[in-house]
Amino acid sequence: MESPSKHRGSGARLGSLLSQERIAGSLLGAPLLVWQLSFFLAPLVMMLAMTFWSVRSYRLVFDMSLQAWSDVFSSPYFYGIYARTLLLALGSAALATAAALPLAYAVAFHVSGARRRLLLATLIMPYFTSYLVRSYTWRFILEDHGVINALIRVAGVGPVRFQGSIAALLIGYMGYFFCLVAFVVSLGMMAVDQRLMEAARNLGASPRQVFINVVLPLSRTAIVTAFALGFTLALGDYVVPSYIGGGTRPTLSILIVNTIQGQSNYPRAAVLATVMLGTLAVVLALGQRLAFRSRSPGHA
Amino acid sequence: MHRFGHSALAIYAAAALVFIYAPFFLLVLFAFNTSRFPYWPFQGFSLHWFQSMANGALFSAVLNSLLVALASSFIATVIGAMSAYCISRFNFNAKNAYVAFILLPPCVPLIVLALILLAFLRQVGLANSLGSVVICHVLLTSPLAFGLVRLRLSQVDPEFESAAWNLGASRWVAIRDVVLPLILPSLVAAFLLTMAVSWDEFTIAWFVSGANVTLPVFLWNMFQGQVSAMVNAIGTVSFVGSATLVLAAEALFFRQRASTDRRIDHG
Amino acid sequence: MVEPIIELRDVVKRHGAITAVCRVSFSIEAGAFVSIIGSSGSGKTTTLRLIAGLEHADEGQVVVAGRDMRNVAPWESETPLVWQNFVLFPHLSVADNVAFGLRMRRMDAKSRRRKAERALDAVGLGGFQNRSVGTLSGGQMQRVGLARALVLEPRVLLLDEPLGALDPPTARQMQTELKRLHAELGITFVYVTHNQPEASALSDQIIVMDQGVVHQIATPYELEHRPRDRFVARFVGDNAIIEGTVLSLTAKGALVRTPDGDIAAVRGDCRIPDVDAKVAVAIAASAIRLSEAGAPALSGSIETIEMTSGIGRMTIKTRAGTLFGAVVTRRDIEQCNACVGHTIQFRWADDAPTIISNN
Repeated sequence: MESPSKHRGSGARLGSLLSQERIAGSLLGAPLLVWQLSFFLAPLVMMLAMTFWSVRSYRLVFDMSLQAWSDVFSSPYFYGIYARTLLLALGSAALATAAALPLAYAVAFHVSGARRRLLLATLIMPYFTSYLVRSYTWRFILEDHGVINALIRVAGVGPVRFQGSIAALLIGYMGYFFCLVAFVVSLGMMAVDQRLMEAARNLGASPRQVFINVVLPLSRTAIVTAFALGFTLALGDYVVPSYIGGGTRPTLSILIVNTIQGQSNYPRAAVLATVMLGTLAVVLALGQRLAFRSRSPGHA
Repeated sequence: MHRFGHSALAIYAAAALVFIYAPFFLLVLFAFNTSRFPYWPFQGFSLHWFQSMANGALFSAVLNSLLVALASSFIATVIGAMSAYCISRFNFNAKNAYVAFILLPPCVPLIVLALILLAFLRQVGLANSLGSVVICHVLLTSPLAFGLVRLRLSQVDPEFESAAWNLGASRWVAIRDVVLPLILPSLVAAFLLTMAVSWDEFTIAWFVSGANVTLPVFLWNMFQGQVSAMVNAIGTVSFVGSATLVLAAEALFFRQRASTDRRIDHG
Repeated sequence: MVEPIIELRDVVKRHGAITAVCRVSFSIEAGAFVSIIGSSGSGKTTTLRLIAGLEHADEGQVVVAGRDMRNVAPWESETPLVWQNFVLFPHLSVADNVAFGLRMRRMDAKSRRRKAERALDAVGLGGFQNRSVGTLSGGQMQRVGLARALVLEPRVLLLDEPLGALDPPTARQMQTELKRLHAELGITFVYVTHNQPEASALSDQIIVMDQGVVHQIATPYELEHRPRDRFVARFVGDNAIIEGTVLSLTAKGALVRTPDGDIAAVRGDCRIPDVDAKVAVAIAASAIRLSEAGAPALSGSIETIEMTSGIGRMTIKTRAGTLFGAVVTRRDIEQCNACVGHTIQFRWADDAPTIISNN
């Protein structure tokens, strides 16, 4: 949409009309850009540079050295922590996405109108509130004296030790982002044209077949996005593994915090963070490829 | 058979919602517990955890969180909305790259974000203050504000501005008199939602705030100490606060209606 | 000669790779009612927006009321538009909508209110001041749009398919209103539509556009009876088109030999043809007379008869295979005892056939 100068009045403004529009656009779009450049890009670049600095007697030295990298990769327990972090993140994201599918289906196809909007609002609300206290509550729910064990005791079975278990961590991650994942997948399924589902039914497909052959492929983007969100959140979270997990199964985030708090070794922490970013990039790229290959028609 | 699928799905959905909301119920429940342990079973009704909330450290943490939330949300909403308008109404070559860049911060793992911000702010001497938290929260929440306002702008017919120009309104007057009134609910919604996010944010605040403790950091410190249901009491109040913000934002955003939608045809 | 109030000279406007307006030139006299007709993609709306200053020409000149629009911002153009989709501001009342332009001119509130009331009365919506836009019907919304534009007392009023979003009865009513307003106000109306009968009923002049190019500028009568080229003859008017060769030149045009006989055709707006050149001749359906005495006469078989109330259209196929359309009344049908399949004699009014150019 074209429109030129903003000044009333006389005077020849040959050709300045377009430039006035450009100025307006730049004024509007610049602040956020500048903010991100200063407080996101610059810190990111600095962190990458920092991986090549070293620490001598608690001071940062700006030289080019691979000290931090070799420190991290030569440490024996790094690999275990890394593997655990990766598996936990993949696992919790997969669990959340899978568990979200039936819920999203119900939201998209069994409810409509105002009730559905209300349901969606209810679904997403917890994500924006009280994340810390939710984790706190989950920890106590999972304790020996917590609600779950109380219910289990009623059934006559002995108390299950959740503290520090993988199950507790997975439940913790679910408590954190299951609602977000479910929300995103719901939106994706809502966008599926129900007439296509009707057509499939009309051609003889069972509900299960309709789901697998029509609904899932058409909400593929949303499902992959939800998985990516869950994965990113799990990767970068500190509270669940440290508070709910009790820190007995350290993850990369715990390692990063310890490296800063305990040793004040920023270069090493920067290396860990870079490894995390690299992992994220690889997983997302692989996920893209896996999920979106064979886009060509002619595949059944 | 279809009926069975229906009810099975309904039960599953209900169970999922119970899972999501259980912590809130239990949180509030045990805030009224006489025992300081939030363990089952419930011991008895008491208000003394709420009464014990009257302490200076807590108040100053709440005040800090409030100031940070107000300041960062205001900035985030303003600059996010400006960029949203820029994207919606102008065309330029690097538009896609611009949007991708804007939406990048939320895609970075939170711990990494916290680390790079801490390291950077320390270097430039801006760390360990409430201001540092504001800076970081603006970074975190402006993409959200951007997304919300952009969504709303895509629903508002650009011809309204053309009509305003045609009737003599300059570009900025048209924005003030025609666009702003039509997107005002979404601006407020963005403000409220970003406030909720900032109010609740822990990791980054923990890293960069230093001694100026915000409420989540205050709570975290309490976690490390003795088990106490005062956490429940504080959590309940905090939850009610942020839930109100989120619900108000949702109501505002979804209530904006078709009278402004593009291309309506009337008989 | 009257100085035109709007003038376009060799205007070119591109939207990306598409040329929306291609070397368009025309001028509009002050006080005229001029329509630009064409189908979607013809460039008519772009042309209107160029006059309004909402878009700016890539090449050529757009001059409105003596101002070269090249340096005029949209908000300085003083050519208010009446929009097809009304585009009333939903957050303002009817009165505030109407007074919007006055507020932009910094008129005080009291005068604004007074003028808005008067404008609403003038379009038949007296008393609607405090209504909200969402409660109005389509016709009412369009009247508010009209009031909003007219309250500014413009010299040029632009209308972009204003009847397009209205149902037929309301559109008919509004059409009459617009004609009356134009007569009353005496200002220039530039009207864009794809509906040719509408344009013919309203306009002094019609500009026919297709794919960014102007095909003909003429009065409604000329458009109907003297189409300039094949496009106008086929898509704007209702004409039989006959191919032939020029036998000889006459004072008014040429004698053309066609499979339907030798036709004396008038040269309209095209260049003088050469003898033996291949030309096409158009004969308007409204010029056809059934079974009247006098030459020239043709006979053909009736293909179809479509009647709507008292008047309708008949198609006749001649032995040479040419399809003629004819406007007929019920009386004509009864008098000739016409039936589908019957043979009928017909002729056309003198000077009806027009030589059209290929385009």
